[in-house]
Amino acid sequence: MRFAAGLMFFLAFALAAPANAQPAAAGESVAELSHEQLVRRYVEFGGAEAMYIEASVYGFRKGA
Amino acid sequence: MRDAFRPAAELYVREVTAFYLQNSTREDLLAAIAYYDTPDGRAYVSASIAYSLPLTVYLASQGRIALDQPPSAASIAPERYAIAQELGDVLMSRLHSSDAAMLETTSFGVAGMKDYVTRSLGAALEPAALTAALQWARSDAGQRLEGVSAERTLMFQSTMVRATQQVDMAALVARMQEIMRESPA
Repeated sequence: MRFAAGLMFFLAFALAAPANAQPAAAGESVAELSHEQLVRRYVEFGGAEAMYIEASVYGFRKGA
Repeated sequence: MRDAFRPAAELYVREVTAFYLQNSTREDLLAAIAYYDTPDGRAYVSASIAYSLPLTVYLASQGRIALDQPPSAASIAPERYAIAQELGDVLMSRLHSSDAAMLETTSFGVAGMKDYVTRSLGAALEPAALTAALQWARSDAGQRLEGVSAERTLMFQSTMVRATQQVDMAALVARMQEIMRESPA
């Protein structure tokens, strides 16, 4: 559970910002995206998910 | 091992996305993407992740696993260090009082965290990237999306508890033991 608490802090602090900003696709106009699409871009579905996993694996391997 | 953490990660992303669907405006999101989708924005995110991983392990192990120290303040160019200090101040001001209280229970404390973050970012980022990060953090949109917020703090805390419950720790430990028993190829 110590690990969980540490991971919680890391995510709350570091991932308050997007985890892995994806560059806009060629020709894509961000201004035309819907609110939901903008949220997903901000949270970065794939990037945040991957970051969560990498942080977890890193912490687990370190034994925290 | 990554598969073991995937359900937790999916839950985390789902809940954070749901929160921001209810707690963001189109204008603020466009401003955020306009910053993060730049070389300076990506450099800031990379630098943040780079210092956060060892910091997480240090805090989670309650200091038993030593923390690699970033370069000393004296070794960072004064201009960079000055901007990084301003950025460190803003980032610390984002901590909700409950997070700050939790930090103060560690050997690190809020002051130690600020020093670590300041030196890490000051050593990693060029002045232009530091300035861009500072401008975003101080902007109205940046404050609304990422500034101190009881609602967002509670969301992160409750989401992390639920996400952690998704991890099959017994299976994870069993897999680790399997790996340790394997003879090196």
